[in-house]
Amino acid sequence: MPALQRVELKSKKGKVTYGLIMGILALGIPVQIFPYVWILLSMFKANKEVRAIPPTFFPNEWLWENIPETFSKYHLEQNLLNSFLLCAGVILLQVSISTLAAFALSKLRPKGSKWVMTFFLGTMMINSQALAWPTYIMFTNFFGLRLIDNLWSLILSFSAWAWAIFILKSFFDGLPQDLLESARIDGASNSRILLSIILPLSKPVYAVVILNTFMACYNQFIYPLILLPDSKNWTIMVRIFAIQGSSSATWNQIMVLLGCATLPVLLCYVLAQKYIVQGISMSGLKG
Amino acid sequence: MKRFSRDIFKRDVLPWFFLVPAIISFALFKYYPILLGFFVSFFEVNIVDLPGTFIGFDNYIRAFQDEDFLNAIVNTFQFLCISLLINFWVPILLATLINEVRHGKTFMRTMYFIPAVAPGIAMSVLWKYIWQPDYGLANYIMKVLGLPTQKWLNDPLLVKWCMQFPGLIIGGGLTMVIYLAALQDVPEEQHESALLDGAGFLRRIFCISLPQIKPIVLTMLVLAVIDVFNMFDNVQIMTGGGPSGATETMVLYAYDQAYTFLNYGYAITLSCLTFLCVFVLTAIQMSIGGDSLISRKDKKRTRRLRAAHLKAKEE
Amino acid sequence: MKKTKLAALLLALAMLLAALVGCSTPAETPAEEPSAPAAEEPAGEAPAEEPAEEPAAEGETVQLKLYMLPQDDDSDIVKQRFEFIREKVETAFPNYEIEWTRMAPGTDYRQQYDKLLMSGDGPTLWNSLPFVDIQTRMRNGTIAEITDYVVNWDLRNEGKVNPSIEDALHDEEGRWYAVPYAPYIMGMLYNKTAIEAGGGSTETVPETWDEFAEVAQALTDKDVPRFGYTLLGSDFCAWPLTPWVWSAGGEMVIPNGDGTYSIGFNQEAGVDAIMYMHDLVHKYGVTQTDLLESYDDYMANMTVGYACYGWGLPTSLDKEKLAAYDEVQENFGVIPIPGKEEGQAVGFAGGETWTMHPQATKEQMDASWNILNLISYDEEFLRELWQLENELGLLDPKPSTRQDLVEVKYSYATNWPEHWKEEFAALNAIARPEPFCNEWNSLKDYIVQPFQEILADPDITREEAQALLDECAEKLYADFPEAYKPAA
Repeated sequence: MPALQRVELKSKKGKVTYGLIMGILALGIPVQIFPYVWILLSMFKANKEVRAIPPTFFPNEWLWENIPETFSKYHLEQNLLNSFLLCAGVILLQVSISTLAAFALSKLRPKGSKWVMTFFLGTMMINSQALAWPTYIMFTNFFGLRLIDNLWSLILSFSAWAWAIFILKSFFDGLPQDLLESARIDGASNSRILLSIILPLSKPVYAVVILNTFMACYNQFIYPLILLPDSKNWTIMVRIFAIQGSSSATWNQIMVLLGCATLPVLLCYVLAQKYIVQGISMSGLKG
Repeated sequence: MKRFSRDIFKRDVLPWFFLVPAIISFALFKYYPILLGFFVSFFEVNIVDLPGTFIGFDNYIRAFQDEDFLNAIVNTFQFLCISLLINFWVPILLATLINEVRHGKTFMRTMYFIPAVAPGIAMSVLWKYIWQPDYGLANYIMKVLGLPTQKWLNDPLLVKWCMQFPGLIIGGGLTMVIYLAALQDVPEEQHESALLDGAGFLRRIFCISLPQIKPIVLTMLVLAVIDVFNMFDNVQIMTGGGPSGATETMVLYAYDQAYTFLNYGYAITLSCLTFLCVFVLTAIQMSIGGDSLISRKDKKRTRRLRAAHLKAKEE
Repeated sequence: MKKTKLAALLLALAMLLAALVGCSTPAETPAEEPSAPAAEEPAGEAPAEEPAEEPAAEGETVQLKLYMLPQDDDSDIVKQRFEFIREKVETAFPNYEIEWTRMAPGTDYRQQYDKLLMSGDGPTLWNSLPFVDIQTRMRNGTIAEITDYVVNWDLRNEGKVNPSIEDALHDEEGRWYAVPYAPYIMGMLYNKTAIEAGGGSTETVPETWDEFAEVAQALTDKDVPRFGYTLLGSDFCAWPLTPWVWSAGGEMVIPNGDGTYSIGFNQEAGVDAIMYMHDLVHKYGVTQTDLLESYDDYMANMTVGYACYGWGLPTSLDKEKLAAYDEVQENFGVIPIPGKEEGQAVGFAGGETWTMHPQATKEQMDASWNILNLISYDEEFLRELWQLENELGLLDPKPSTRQDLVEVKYSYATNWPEHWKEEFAALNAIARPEPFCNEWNSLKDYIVQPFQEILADPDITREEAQALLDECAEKLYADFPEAYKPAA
């Protein structure tokens, strides 16, 4: 609850404090959205104009063709599609694996489940760059299959994410045990309990987990760069990484690229925001 | 007897079926690669004929004598300090402020939540462009304000601050929402009674709100430390470790060793050392802060959920 | 509780480690979804994987993998040239089953190559390794020995193969590992538009450091922005440093006579060159401020007219790339790197080579040999290619790989801007090949840090710079004792 009480707001001091807070926050807003506005406007500038001195805010001339040109030059639609396919695959696999594990750890608690939880949580400390190279070697011959240049290699390696298990477990922990007991007395099996009691209650936390999985996966670039060398399999982030530095991309094209990679994600967040906030306040995340 | 064994099966064996997919997945895609890494760190890798020649602890000995790696460790700790100094508290502050908002709550929350969740790589590219000393925006703003222009990312003293700067001004995001959720659960009665006792606004924030969210702050601290140790994307994109090694982090140095100098065995050794560093730091933090990673049950939440369930049943 | 958790984690690690040491090859229990991954991959036809023993009968197909496909964002004219080459190769060798592919861009192609080798993949025949890499790679076994082919090569025995980089391609015992693909030259690229905008002229060529500093200073106006000289930044910075050291009369490395080299960049001339670079940045103030610039931005500075002079070659700017900046080839040209004193101006010669996969089979190597002979050494093919390149505006001033056709190649260059021919000839006459000793690339990587440090510090003294370079040299001696040794 707000620390500033309703009664305080009536006093002069309270009013000033409240006004001050609102003022600071309002002033901060332009700063927050500035980078996106800049990207958005630069997308339509001429190449020279993006790096001109002094910089222009609005394009001198709105070059709408920048967007189709960049798309056809770099096959961005393919990159975006790959990104979304990858995210979809990871979400499906990872969330199902995590749900099963979290359910078992929270509600069934077989002997040794604490150890298992530690086994999962321990991986949060490993940095993914350290794993990238051994993982590459592993997928060159994965039980006889060569999964390099194959989305499956990424989907599989992202399927293990301790954070998701942790969040789901914390949330399931908060679900009253007696709900399960009564269902069990009614003769419901474990999978039935999971599907018809736990899941319907857990929608908000799934919003958090799914969106975060999406983001984590969408943002990856070292793994995809190493595991998917062929540019037709690239995700949009790999494209950004590759394009800046050594290519013939011009700065207005880079801006188009940044815009196309960023804006859809922000939109997703705006749409799902309500559920995320709800999910976070209901899960154990806040301690 | 028969009944007994069936119970044991149900209680102790059946649950493992739920755990098996996750265990396999973690073992294969997390533990196996890291152990393969540990294994390889004892070799001088020959890329045509893996793994190469066994050299025992030579790679580890080399790491401790490698000035560049020590420099990378120092850099990483400097990044950590800077991050704690100018990044870590920003979401807490924002959450505290936004928690007070009574008009246009959703709008404010959106404005401070959404911009901070943008893909990191895209933002690194953009910030690199902003810091560009010859025609970048940062220097343009300095000129407009009549201040001396700076070299930003080219200045070994400024570069680390420049890299962490975006987190200072755009510091909302998911972390802030988590703090916000925690702050909203601080019981109103506490503030009311404190107010009656004559405690001012700031006093109440420091004595009531912040202590309440302490566990979550500690959790976030652990995660922040892990993040800094894994810092790679923005350094690789913005400076590539330069100028003159000022932003060479541990992970980036390992990456360079692998891909520029082809010392795969050594690179993995460095990764393993990084991992150990994080492990030890996290262990220390967790032992100081109690195990805040494991959340406690929340009676209020239990009540709320039960009500939701009953409602769902009725429908 | 906490202690138990830690203990559990450590134990888990230890157990897995033990299990791993037991079976060091990735043999595990089947994964949870064995059927799923099979979806798209045609079970990896890595051609060069194992040395197959069976002799190929006449006319039997040979599988090859060539990494020559242009990148997505290459210009259409580059793609057109590739299509020409592909068609010729496929017509000439119908029996070869060739997979045309490319390295992933974005990271260093050398890293890509190593990564491919590690996974048992990689190009059967490759045309991208610079000749300076060969001495290092022949030692670490990442390229195949091709002595038999080279020694019995009629063309070479007749003296028709460009000999300029030969010494870099074999070891002391006469074992060969590569043949030339594309020698190139580099010098000081200039942008005429920018120079004229700054009130200068391309008629007078600065020949000494002092002259150049003066010219560059007159051209520089940081508010436009326009820089007299643009420094190549980030990891590339040692590449243009080499000719600057030469132009001071020094050497980057000096052969000891026993296969090892001693470091030269910390000697008098080397320090001169680095301090001159430092002066260009700070004393004369003629360069851009951003010394971490990517190669891409660097070239963009050059084309867009932010920079008047820089390191490069005008043919790396093809018409299509220039069109993105409303520029034309006419406005670019190349001059030698000015000397410290009169008469010390230099040019720089580099070049790529043909190499083969270390595990290629005999059949694959035979086929590779035939293909490289067609692409780089077949007179009829080369004439057609030059014709096409001239039409596309891609014909470069590189000397031909065929020693006897060097002049013929230039006779095709009817589309070059007028001044190029003269400039290229002048540069060619004084071009020196890049040093090619063992671990040369490591040297270039090691020098980045002291170089950046010197450039970043406006007040650094010559002695301090010397100390940094000495330290770097010591590190090279310590880390690569087989390649570098102090002179006796």
